[in-house]
Amino acid sequence: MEKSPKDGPVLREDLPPLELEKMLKEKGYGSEDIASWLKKDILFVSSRKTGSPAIEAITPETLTIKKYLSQEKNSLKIDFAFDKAGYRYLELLSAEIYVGIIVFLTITAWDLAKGFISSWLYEQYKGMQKDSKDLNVKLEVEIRDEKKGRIYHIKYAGPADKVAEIIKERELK
Amino acid sequence: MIRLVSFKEATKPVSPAATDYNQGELFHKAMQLYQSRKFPQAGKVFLTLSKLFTEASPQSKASSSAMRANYFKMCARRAEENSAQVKNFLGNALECLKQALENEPYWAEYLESGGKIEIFLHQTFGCEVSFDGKCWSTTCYKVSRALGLPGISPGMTERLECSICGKDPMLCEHVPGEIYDKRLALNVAKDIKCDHVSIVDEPMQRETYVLPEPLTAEKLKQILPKRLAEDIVARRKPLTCKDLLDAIQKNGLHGVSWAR
Repeated sequence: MEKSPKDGPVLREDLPPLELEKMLKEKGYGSEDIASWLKKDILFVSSRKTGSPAIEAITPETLTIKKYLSQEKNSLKIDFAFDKAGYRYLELLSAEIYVGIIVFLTITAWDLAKGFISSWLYEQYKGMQKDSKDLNVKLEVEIRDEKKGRIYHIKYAGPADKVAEIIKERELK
Repeated sequence: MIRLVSFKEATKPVSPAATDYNQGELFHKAMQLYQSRKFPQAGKVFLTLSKLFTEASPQSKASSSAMRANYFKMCARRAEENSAQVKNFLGNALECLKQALENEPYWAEYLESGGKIEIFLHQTFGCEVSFDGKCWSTTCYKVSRALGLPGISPGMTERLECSICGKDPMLCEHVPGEIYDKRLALNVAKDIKCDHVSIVDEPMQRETYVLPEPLTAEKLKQILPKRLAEDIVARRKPLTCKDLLDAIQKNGLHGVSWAR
């Protein structure tokens, strides 16, 4: 049985590479949009479906982190893959910081953005800590080093205070 | 007692949303008097200033209300910090700030000041428990939390609108929490649909705690000090959340049997 975050942090590094192009096609995005997104440095991908019929659900936190990142690292090409015709925002109002899939399509993007993202998550965590003791994070990150042909896929679920060290520890060599 | 917001912070004057030269000069004078702790004189200048904003623009109307809020804040500064007078004056200041926000809904300084007054009033005086002729009912989350009642964590889907430009936040550059031209950027939820509900120990949304059961006069007499209970039942005094919190602590009240 898969370990639950309630039993302690769950960090999976044995994941197969995210088949990004296939996933985007399955989501029904147009080929022009997909081609344009794959040229970016960082791509945020909506990972949740909700309701019946299922529509794409984007958490406001994911959008906020994308906006901050675009503002702070304006040399990076950052985009959000989403279904323009049918999406809604998912407000969880819970003691979780839910950030969707972030795909780093270049190693430079990862190097430039990882510190910022971990600091942002830490700030959110500190802000929420005033109200609640036990804060969890579910995080899925894929980093692609096209030059070295290496793909690194992390999925994490567990206490928020471990995220910064986990991200910072992942130095790609 | 831990103070989340000090009296000084709650009574700090706010600036007008827009000023011409004369209004600016007068505001500057009022602030100098405030900084010299000449609160009655500062209050008078703020009141005079509030009458100078006569234009029909939203900013002018908001400024007039904000200056009246400053007047009430200065009145509060003249009184004893924990007195009923302070409660009334700050209640009036809060109303004025709400009027200002009706004209300028996302003016960051007015939102912040109003929030500080609300926190100060709640931490200092508690909130009044409503009475329907038979029972006393509170919606204060502190009471629910002290009783150990669970909360609700709702998940919902919604459309969002940026408070600055009115666009879908996906299509604009404004970052929630940042201030743009003195206005606070927020994601304003529209067309909200419930997706799921969870029952949790400590909800992030404080307003979603399960409410405690309404209290009868009999029950009040059991849990409150005798004289206080008599005064409240005879309607000589209002029941506040602070009275209930003291009673919960003193009597060790706890558990879902207190849930409505």
